[in-house]
Amino acid sequence: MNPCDLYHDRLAAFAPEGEEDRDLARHLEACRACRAEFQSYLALTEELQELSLPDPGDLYFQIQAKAIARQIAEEDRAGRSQRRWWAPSLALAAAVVLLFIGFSRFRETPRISEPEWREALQFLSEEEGVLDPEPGLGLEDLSPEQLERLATNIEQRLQQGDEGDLPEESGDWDELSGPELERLLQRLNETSPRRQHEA
Amino acid sequence: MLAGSTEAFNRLVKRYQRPVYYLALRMLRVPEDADDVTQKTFVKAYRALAGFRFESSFKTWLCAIAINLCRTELMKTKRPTEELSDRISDGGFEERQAAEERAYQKAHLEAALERLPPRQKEVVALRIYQEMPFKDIAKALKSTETAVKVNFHHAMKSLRDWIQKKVHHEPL
Repeated sequence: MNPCDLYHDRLAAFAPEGEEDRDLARHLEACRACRAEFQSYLALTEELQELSLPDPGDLYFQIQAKAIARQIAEEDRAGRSQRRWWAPSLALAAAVVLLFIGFSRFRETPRISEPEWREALQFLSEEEGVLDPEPGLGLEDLSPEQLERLATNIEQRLQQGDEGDLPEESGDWDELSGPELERLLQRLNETSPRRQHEA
Repeated sequence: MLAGSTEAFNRLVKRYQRPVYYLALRMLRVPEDADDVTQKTFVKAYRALAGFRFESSFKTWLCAIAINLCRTELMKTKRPTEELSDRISDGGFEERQAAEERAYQKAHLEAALERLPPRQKEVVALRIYQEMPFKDIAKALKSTETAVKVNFHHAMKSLRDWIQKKVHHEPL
């Protein structure tokens, strides 16, 4: 199989300034044929960008903005003047649905929300350089559930003085000292609603 | 709550009406229809503003509404495909040859753009003319980033192939 086949379908969508396809960027540096094809797509993009549309001018857009505002105002007036006989029934139905959704959410186990998770991660990365948030450590890829599981494992390890392995997602955490793990747990306990609830 | 603040909304209209108008014009090719779609887009956005959840940028959200309205408009009216010969005269005086060649190339590309399947045309319009990232295009079209990239690839490949034919002045 020609190695270029792997990249052909990605050439048109490749943005050189983006870093999302480093694999393709490396291939382009090495492969003259693919580089030429990529250049042809860039040239086509420029040609397309040069296809200008007629500019109707500022006045046109001012009139259009006024027309939009007028249309909204007219619809508002028309809406207010109508008797909404169906409104009470709709409100009742909405209340039932909202009640059901609220009940379902209440039954769910509380989870660490994304901002809290990010906050925890930030704390961890700043804590005396204990944890390095650089890619490769894998911390930024951890889901709240993984983070929680990890914390539980650390907890057990601290309680039992267990020297056994931490779960796979722990990465370099295995090398953390006891006090470092305790600080991490303390912060997790502060940020996790589930843990706060249990406390 | 955002809805209800007409003055703030008017500022949003002024900020985004050009991108929305040009997107609609790119899709529909008829200025009056593009104007109609632009107005409808903002009225619809105003009504739905309270439900806007900031999961995408406001522009992405507006483009999604505009694209949907363009689709409806395109379904309502079967638009005649403009023939290349409508734009380029067959004859040609020698002194106008260069200018005609440029016009021919431009018209050829525009005609090729017109020939793209609707979804590919939408992706090209959002990517090339609105300069939106693929992930935002995916949100606007309720698709996946991979699918959008595949559509873009097919569109660009088709356009390039058609453009290469122009060297031989083959009819589209």
